[in-house]
Amino acid sequence: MLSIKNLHANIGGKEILKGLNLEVKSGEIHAIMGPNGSGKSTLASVLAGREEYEVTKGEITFNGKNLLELSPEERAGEGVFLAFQYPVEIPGVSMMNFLKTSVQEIREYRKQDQLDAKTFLQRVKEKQKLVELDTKLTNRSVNEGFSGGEKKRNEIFQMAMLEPTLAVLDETDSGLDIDALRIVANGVNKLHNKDNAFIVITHYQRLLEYIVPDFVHVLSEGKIVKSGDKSLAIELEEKGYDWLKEVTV
Amino acid sequence: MELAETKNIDTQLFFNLYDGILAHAEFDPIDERIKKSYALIKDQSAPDIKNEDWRYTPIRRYLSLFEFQPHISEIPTCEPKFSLENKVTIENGHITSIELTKETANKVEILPLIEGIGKYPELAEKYFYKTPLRNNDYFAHINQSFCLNGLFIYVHDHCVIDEPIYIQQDCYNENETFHQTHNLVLVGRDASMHLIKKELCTGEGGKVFHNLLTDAVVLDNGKFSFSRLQNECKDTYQITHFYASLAPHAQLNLNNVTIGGAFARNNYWVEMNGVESHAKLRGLSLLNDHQHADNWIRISHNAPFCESDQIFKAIVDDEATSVFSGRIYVAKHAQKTNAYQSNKNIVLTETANSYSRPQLEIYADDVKCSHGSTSGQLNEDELFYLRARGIKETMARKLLLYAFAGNLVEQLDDEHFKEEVKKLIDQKFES
Repeated sequence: MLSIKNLHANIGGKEILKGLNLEVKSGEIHAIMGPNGSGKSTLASVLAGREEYEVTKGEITFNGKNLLELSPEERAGEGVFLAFQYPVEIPGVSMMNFLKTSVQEIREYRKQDQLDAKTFLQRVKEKQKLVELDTKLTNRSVNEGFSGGEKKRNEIFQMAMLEPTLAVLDETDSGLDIDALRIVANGVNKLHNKDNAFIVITHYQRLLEYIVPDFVHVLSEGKIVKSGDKSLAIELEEKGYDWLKEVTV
Repeated sequence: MELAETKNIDTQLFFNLYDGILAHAEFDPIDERIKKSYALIKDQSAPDIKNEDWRYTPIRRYLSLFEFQPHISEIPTCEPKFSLENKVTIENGHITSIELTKETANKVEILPLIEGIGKYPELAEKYFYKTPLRNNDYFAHINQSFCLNGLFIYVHDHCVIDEPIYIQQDCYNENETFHQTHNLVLVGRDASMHLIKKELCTGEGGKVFHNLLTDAVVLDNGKFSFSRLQNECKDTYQITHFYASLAPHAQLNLNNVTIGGAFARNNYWVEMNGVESHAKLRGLSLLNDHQHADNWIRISHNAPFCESDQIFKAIVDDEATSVFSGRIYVAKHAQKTNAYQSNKNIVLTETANSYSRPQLEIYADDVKCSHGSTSGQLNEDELFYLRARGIKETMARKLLLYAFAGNLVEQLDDEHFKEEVKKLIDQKFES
């Protein structure tokens, strides 16, 4: 589904990703861990198409298409979804209007019929339940006045609405208490099936107790320096990241 | 400014235009005022960009687009009539109809200016022309010198008018028009009125220059809402002077929406003379092409315990320009003043301009005053968030512009006015 080869990326002239390789197949959950500044969020931003990041070398193929040639909105249409680490507040754009526009545009891109108002509202209700986002979305602006936990649940809610094939969760667990963490993980597990894939970027092993990954990768200084199964996450939690540096040197 | 200011725009030009109307002005008590204004400006010419107040607005360039052919301007008479709605019509510079419901007519008198002053000379004497026109307020003096055309609006004490009164100002002359109106508005004690003024052109004709002046006085505990929708065609230029003085506990709500027209300069001057008076000003300009809108605001806190807040926003596209100069003045004895000012601009192209000059002038020591000004492009983080959810860039931009404007529209006073503004915003964004 996703193939990243020798990816190099800069921001503001500074190289952050320095030859990253990753293969993700349908049905898989990949966890990406690593210390601060290792390039985890850069990878998420590059996948979603953020223009400040300049890809200088390498390629990303997604379902046979060159992802790097696509605009952020086209990537979303193709099925890439980024759950933001810091979801932005957009005062004045109502949640419902935003969701409706987003779902419409994506369905148009995928050449699917538009949802009628009733089905749309039903789906909103159903997916809200999934992430226990019980706030009234009408009359609220996108993320405005949402608590930290609500913002993260709102990301997973949007993911549920848009049904992506590849979801990238950028430190979705940061700032969440244990209940919110469980809710978010639960949402992800319910949405996971054999036709989609997840890349879960996280700092701590904690989230991986709830979302069980098939693969764990350690990112350090812009490269994946070690890959393994879920036991690698536990090892990292015990030993920290420093021992890896010694291993790779 | 590449178009040279060739023509000398002096007072004589306006004098010719009005064919010596000054000589016929024998209406006490404004006669003296007229003569004073005229004496002040008779040897002057229109301000240029060296004048601080006109720094970003080349007014002489706009005036030089006009021929100023002399024409005799007769003052038509117009009898107020009963109707099912409250509506005043001004066509090509003349008041052509004044219609009020029976209920409204019991509460407010709307008369042609000269008739109103003739009927209530003591009110005119007592309340109006108290706001000191500054010597360099050239166009206000021009208006005052030559203009006897306008409305006298008097809301009687304790009368609350529930329905808004509409004033429709339309210009469809084939020839070039220089048009002035001069309005006096008196809102009595415990009285309340909402005027909604729609400025439009139903036919594209010759160029129009409006030089409008309204002098409003709101007495104790009175409330005056004034909403303006400037949506004229591309050959319309205008300067508006709006003076208001507020008595104790009086309230002024001012809503200014600029969508059409080539050029608009709006001077809003509010004198808060009574304790616990309140002024709320909201402004929205949506400008594209070569449009130029200049909002000049002065709020004077002359009494303690008054509150004022102003929010002005502009979206500037293509080669358009928005200017905001807002000054809050707090006199030495105006303690416990609460004054707020905000100006936000979104500049969409490299060739569009936005100038913002927020100013505070505070002489009291126990006050809360704040001001803020931002100018910039659309927020990149917000834009990316929307695009990452599959929303095309053009649509995402539109959503954010709607949000920026919509937030202000929600703060406008009247539901009908809001709806109308929303519709026009839609149309403007579509184009």
